[in-house]
Amino acid sequence: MRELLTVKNLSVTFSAYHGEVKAVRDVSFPVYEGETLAMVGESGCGKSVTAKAILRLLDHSSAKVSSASAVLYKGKNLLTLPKRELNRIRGSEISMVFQDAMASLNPTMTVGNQIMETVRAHQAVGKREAAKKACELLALVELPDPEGLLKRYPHELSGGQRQRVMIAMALSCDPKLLIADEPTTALDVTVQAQILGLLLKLQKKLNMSVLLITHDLGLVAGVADRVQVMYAGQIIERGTTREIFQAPKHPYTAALLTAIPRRNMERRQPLTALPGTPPDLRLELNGCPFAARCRFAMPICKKQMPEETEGCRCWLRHPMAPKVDLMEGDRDA
Amino acid sequence: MRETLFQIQDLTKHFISGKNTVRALDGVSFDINKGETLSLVGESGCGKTTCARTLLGVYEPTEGSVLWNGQDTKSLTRAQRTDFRRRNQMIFQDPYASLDPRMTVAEIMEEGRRRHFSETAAERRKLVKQLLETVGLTAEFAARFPHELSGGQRQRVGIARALALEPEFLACDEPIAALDVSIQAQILNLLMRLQRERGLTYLMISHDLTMVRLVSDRVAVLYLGSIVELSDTEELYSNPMHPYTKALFSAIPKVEPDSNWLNARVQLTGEVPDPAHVPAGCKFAPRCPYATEKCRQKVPPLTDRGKGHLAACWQK
Repeated sequence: MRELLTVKNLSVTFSAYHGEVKAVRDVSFPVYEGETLAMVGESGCGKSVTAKAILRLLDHSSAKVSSASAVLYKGKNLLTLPKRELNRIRGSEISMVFQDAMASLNPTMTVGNQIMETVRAHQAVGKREAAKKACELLALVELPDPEGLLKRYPHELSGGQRQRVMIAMALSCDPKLLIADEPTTALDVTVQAQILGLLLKLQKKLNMSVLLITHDLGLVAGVADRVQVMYAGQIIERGTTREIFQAPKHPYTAALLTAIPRRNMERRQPLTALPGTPPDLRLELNGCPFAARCRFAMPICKKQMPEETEGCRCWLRHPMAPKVDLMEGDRDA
Repeated sequence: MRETLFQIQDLTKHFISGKNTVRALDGVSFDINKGETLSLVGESGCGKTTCARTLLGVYEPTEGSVLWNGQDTKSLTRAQRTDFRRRNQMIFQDPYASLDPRMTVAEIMEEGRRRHFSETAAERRKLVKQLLETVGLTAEFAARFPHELSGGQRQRVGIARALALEPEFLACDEPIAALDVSIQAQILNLLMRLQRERGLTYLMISHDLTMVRLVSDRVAVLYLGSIVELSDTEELYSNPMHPYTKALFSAIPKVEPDSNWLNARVQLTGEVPDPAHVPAGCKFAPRCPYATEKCRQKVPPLTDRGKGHLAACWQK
């Protein structure tokens, strides 16, 4: 498979009044053509910051992207591209859908005008043609009565409908890559399934890549081709969805899987909960950031972060490390 | 047979919003037995929270009644009402909004205690310390303010505040929905342990159906303010009868690789209608793949389909 976009050595720090927060710490990964890549992690792990950094959507006044970072797309580094060239790629070749559709839509403009605005920003078309295109887009995302909808305002729509409008706008210029940042988190389960189903259908139809950002590991099974798990600003494990679910290699991934209630559990059976909370990102982390919460932690884990072997950054992957069963205690239950 | 703590009869709560009447809760009846966990599940706007709040007397019911230990809550004396409020507590979804930012953790926990118990300040401080340890925090949290705590820690404080009043019943309104996955399991384990140790009765409100299956004895499925199905947990999950319940269950993501849940699900079109404009007949009919003319005209009653499994659907 060909690489569509490559993120290289991305580091992002935020200056806050209580010190520097190192939100993303030297993250590198490719996105292949036509695939769905899921980026999974808890709040504060750096997944959204990574996504926003790709399109340079971070606030300049507080966020600092290190000079060693690069985001390569068609041979160009998006992080150093002149604004004008970047704007040609943003929204037309790479577009984004956000979690909170209500906050991302303009409440003072009709849905139609907002979509037409996007279309006309990237394509040299007249008003009438843009309106036609807007109509087609709303039909594409399976909204009933697209023509009537053009004249409605965001507050008149339901949460699911708003998210569909967001997707329609994102797809207005046939992007090669769609970054979906928690696209279904604010929605109900039945609507969540509808929106995910729609995204996958459109992906096949338009042959685009999707970078799906989510906190919900349960969501990505049956949706993503590959998964990468982030913790404290780093990718600690990556692999195909099958690998991640059937044989997680990192204790954190395994813990995320065993912390979710499953169908085969006894009633009131305690979950294998992870103790503690993620580390303070203001600190320099010398060892593995997960060591403090890891039940398999060895002395070396607190001193040095291991290199990546077979898609996993964990000392347990070292040939001389003891063999452990990551899902232990869970399997016999 | 277990003793009944609450008998809810035809409970209705309508809100007036401009010209519209929002039928948030539309005549629900069920019992809550002592020591059990009953869960209310459904999508946003289906009346789960309204049900819990009306039950606890936060809202005045429009119609219907709540019997608490056999007594109508409307006829409680002043002293009994105070007692009712102490013994029936609530845990909220948003641990950021439900703690007063100007109070320390100790003040938050002591506030209700002062109202309901006569004891010395030293006794109260000791209790706060004990309770903090019970919920998995340490005594040093007593002097902190909510903004110094993480989401999981705040939810623990919310639970400790409820426990301080020595309640028998807790209405848990989406207690883990705002928390990260690894923290959700901690809070869920805590709630299950407290129930075991203290014999608490829970009304669990959630849209998370896998979590509900783990913790509940019985589950009621709400749609637009009405119960469409109510049954023992195992029976409900292995044999869902109402088309809405089936759709809801099939929308749960399966935590298995290669699972085809997204395509295999019962596909629902559209979304939950606005409770200010409730459709006639069965409320689910406009989205139901099996709806007939009868469904659109007559409201199906909640009937026993055997083994105490109640469902409100005209289809057999």
